[in-house]
Amino acid sequence: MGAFFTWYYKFMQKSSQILLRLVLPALILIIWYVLNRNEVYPEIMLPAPQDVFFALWELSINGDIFYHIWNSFQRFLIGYVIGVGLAVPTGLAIGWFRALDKYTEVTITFLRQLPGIAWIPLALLWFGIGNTSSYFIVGMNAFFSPLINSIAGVKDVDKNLVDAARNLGVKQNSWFMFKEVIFPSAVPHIMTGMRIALTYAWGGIVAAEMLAASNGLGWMIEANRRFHFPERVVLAMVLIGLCGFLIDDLLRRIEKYLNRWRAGISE
Amino acid sequence: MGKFVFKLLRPFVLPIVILLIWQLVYINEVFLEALFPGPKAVWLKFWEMTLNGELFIHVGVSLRRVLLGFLLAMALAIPFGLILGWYKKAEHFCEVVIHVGRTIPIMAWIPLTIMWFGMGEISSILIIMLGAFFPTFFNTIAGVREVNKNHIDAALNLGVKPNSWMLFKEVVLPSSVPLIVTGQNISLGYALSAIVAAELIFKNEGIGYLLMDGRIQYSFETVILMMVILCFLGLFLNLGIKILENTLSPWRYGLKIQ
Repeated sequence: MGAFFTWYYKFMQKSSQILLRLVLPALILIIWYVLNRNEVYPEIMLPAPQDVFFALWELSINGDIFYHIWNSFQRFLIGYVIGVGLAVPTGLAIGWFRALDKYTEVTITFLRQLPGIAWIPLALLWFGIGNTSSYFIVGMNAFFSPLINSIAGVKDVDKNLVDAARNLGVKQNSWFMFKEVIFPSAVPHIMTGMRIALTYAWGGIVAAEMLAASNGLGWMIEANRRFHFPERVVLAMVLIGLCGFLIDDLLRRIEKYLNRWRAGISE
Repeated sequence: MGKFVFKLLRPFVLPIVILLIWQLVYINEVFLEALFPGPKAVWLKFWEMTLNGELFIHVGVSLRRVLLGFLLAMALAIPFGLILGWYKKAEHFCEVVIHVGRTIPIMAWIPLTIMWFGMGEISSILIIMLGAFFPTFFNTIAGVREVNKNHIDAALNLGVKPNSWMLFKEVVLPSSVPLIVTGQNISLGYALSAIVAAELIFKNEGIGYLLMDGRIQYSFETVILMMVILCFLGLFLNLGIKILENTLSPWRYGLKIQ
């Protein structure tokens, strides 16, 4: 019986915590509904919450949503892989060869100030409206964080680890040292950079599609604003947020898996 | 002496090499001239826009929007962050809304703000606020949460009451400053990105407008020039935050040296 009460107490505590979290979203939904119901704002400014669900239903049935999500995702993935794929080796090389770092540091600091979105006009001029532009923009958005983090990762290797490896007979600047000591200990930095890049790249794909594509989630937002489908604009926003969240979560899990040997240290 | 000069000049080697390659590619006409102007054309464009004052007007407009939006975002993010960091219940209360809001990229808010406020000053500043809000907000919460426990215990030992205003003002607030300033640094980058995004779409005035205008008129010089200016602007704003950081938390560097 005592066990039951403990369980009951914990259950109530937990459910009250969950309830607390749901109060504000519920309030917002209710206010939204009431405002819409009483037509305080015109329909074009404030679609009904239920209309967003109907739009989701309608667009899932005719498959439009999956088409746009798939297009966005595929552009995102290709651009992201290109950007990170160029950034990480470059960053590792710059970090490994100290001289290179001294020459490139200022230039990199200068160039990274440029918001990824500012590449859009140039991409449009060079590649026109289409997939190449999107890849380029996403790649540019995803480039700098992994680059800087790989450089930092190589530079911040624990000196004790390097000394230990040298004691065991590994040569200071050998490939073996890089492969077995430097790279594994740079991985967490690189993963952090990749996750930051993911946020930028996902924002970049939305921006790119709003200006430089004819389908995808970003296009869905901007086009439906012009066609006066406010409920679809809201729907697309929610979908963009959801997809971004899911991709980030996936990478977080991969990061955790790759860092599993590290748990003993950080705890 | 020679070594000193070498060290001083070393960072400029790469930019000069890039400029040289650019010029060589231009002279040998690897790409069509219309698609790939030389460095000189960009420089002339810069000169022209400086002389007729166009550059200052648009950069000024963007800078004003960025600073205004950034300050408004800070005025919201720091107090909210402090409250939500201090009262855990308040954070649970807002959690879902915050996390949903955070996952949506800045760009995705633009159509909605256009629907509500049109393509004007209000929309631009709102977009910047949305962009700049979250990094500082999250860092402020983290700053309050991650106060060194020894400091709190020391204060409690000296007779400060737990959960009192005194504890907040004298211990928690000062020790969260470094994280808040780091957040502001990130926020500033987001603000710059947001203003470019907003102006690219609104096409009224500012740096983003000039970028898009250059695209529409096939004026590569303008586009490249604006990108360079954005880089300088970012550096300049970062410098401002660095100075702020040094004045607000001078003790931080004492810690770093150890």
